[in-house]
Amino acid sequence: MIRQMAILTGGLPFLSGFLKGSSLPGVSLPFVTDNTLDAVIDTIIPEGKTPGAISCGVSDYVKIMLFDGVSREQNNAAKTALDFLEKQAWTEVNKPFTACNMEGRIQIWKNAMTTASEIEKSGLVLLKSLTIKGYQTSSYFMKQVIPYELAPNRYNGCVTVK
Amino acid sequence: MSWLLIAITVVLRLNNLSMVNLNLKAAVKQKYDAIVVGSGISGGWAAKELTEKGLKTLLIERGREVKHIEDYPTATLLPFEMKHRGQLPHQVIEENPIVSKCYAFNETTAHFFVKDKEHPYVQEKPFSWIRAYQTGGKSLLWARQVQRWSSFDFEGPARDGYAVEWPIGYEDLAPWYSHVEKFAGISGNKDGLPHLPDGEFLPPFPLNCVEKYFSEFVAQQYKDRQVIVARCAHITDPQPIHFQQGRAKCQHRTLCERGCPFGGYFSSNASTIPWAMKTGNLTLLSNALVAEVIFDEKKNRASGVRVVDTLTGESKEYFAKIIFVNAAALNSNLILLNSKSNRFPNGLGNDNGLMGKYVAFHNYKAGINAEYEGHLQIKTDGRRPTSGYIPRFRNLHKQEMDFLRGYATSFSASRNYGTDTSDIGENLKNSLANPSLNGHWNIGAGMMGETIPKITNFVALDEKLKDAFGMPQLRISVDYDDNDHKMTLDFVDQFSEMFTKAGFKNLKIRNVNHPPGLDIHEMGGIRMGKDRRTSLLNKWNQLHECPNVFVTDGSCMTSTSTQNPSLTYMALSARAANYAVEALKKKLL
Repeated sequence: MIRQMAILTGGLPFLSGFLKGSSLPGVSLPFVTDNTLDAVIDTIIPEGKTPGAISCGVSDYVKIMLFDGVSREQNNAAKTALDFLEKQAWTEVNKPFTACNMEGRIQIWKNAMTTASEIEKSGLVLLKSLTIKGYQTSSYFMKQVIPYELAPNRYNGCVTVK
Repeated sequence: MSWLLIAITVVLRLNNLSMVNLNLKAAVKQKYDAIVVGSGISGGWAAKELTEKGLKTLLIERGREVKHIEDYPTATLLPFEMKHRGQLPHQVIEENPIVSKCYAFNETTAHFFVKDKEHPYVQEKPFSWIRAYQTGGKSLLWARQVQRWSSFDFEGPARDGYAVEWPIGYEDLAPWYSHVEKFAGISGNKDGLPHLPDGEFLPPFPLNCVEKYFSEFVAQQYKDRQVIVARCAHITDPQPIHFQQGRAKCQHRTLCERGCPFGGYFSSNASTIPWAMKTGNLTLLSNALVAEVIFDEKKNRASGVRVVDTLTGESKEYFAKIIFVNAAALNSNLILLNSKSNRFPNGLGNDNGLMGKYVAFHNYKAGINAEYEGHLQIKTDGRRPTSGYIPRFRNLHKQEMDFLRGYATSFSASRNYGTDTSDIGENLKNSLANPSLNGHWNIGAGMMGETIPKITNFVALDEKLKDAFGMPQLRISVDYDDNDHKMTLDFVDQFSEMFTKAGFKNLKIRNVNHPPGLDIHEMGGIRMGKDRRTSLLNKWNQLHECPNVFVTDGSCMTSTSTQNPSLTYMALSARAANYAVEALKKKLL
């Protein structure tokens, strides 16, 4: 019973957050913070010696994209995928996904990728691709990891690989 | 009581008189030497030439004003400074099924494109009509490819028996190509090809090592084919004329469609319009839709234009000695077809009933991607705003295929970095931070085929449907034909063979199934020709039947050849404008 309630309450804020058609304002961060989504983003690209996705602000980007950047079907797939991860967490370790340590979350994700339905899997893939794009286009990544040159002012067509 | 009536009458009369005076003043103010309709790539050139020669010129743009640099809101934004990191919200894509197909329509450029719902048209056959309503029009968004036409192109219709004979040849346009190239800034290599004449080039961008390899391979194996670097309207070595325009060297940003703050590529906004403005002879009127060209039946000439203010809906008239119609190919057809009078009940200059007909475009129906596992010790560095180019080789010297004409091809090779994204967690993070060069080069080629103008490919006014400004909606009935299909098959066949022989692998044919239009090279409908019975414009781009009206945008094209057409529009506009100035001096107009 407690588990079922946790699943329900875990899903509700998410549902009210970026479900299509909600009346939330569409600027900057229009969502109720969702712990599961943040936990997933953190699992895909974790914090460590270098900044991970959360501290790079990827969570805001993913939520914006889920709110109005993707189709209703994709939005629904992402929601289904998050619900599935929570369900898997309770099935496998009897606690919420958010309460698992990093190792446990990675294992739940990997198991989910093999057992998920087609729509759940498409949602997982979407969440992962949005997280990667958000990270690769973050200020930190584009300035400090692989610096992006806004104006390279050159093209060399034959450079020897070192 | 009677005194009161008299007093009221006097006041009303005085008011009427003052209104008359006001109108007279307004009419005086609205008189110009020349009117240019449309501020895109050809209208900008017409305005530049006319104002330089001293003509007080009104440049009318149906869209909003976009000033160089200050109205390029995304020009210097980095991806993380954009809400959707460059991608458009899904609803925008859903609401704009037509313009969303355009490669350049994204979060960084959407403000420069016409949205589907705002400007409806009738697709009698599927046609993706891409438009840009603002100062500079599509010159902000174009692909900047500028290959000259040659005599092989101008002589095509006469030799192969389609469309009508061009009234001009390459020798007529060559000096005007030079004229516009020097000013615009064109990078290119002098390749010495008679079918793709050299121009006034700034230093070329280089081919990369794999492109050079393919170029040398093709030269050895196919004596009729050349792989060169495409000429493009980018400044690679600024000359005094470019500095005078306030433009600088291209910075290789390859973010061109956002507008270039350096003026590194040519646009009306960066180049011709500010130049014309500096003469003191240009008036730019924005948010003004030209509904029709007014024909004065007493003087037997066009006297001006009627415009609709797109912000207030108010109708106004402006008058001039000469009128250049440069609203972009299909909209110029729309305006002239809508310019009806007792003399021209079917549209201005349309005595032969051919206006709107013989519309053509470029066939982009196929491409090929491949991989190449050679030259792996080489990579590229930096970015390049152009590609390789293979000029037309089919049916060049004589008719030899089972289809008319041929295709040019864009070609490029790139060595990309890849990352393994199969895992998550620290492994994924490390992989993203340490991309590795792919074990192959990516090869790409895309066809750009000539289509044959036909009477069955046409545009016309819809008899009932109107847009928000009261203009008839344009009915577009344009489609591919069997010649296009045969040409497409030949492109796939030839490039499959060339790529395979060159050692490229994993060939993937891209069959493009979208309707015509996304080439954004629609042409014709008001074609040039020698005979007023079969064409609308003469050799100076004047309407045969109304010579003080000039049409020098894509609608004037008699045939399409394979080259990106904008450079030819520029040259035709400059040539016609200079002719118009001389003709005015001689009182021929």
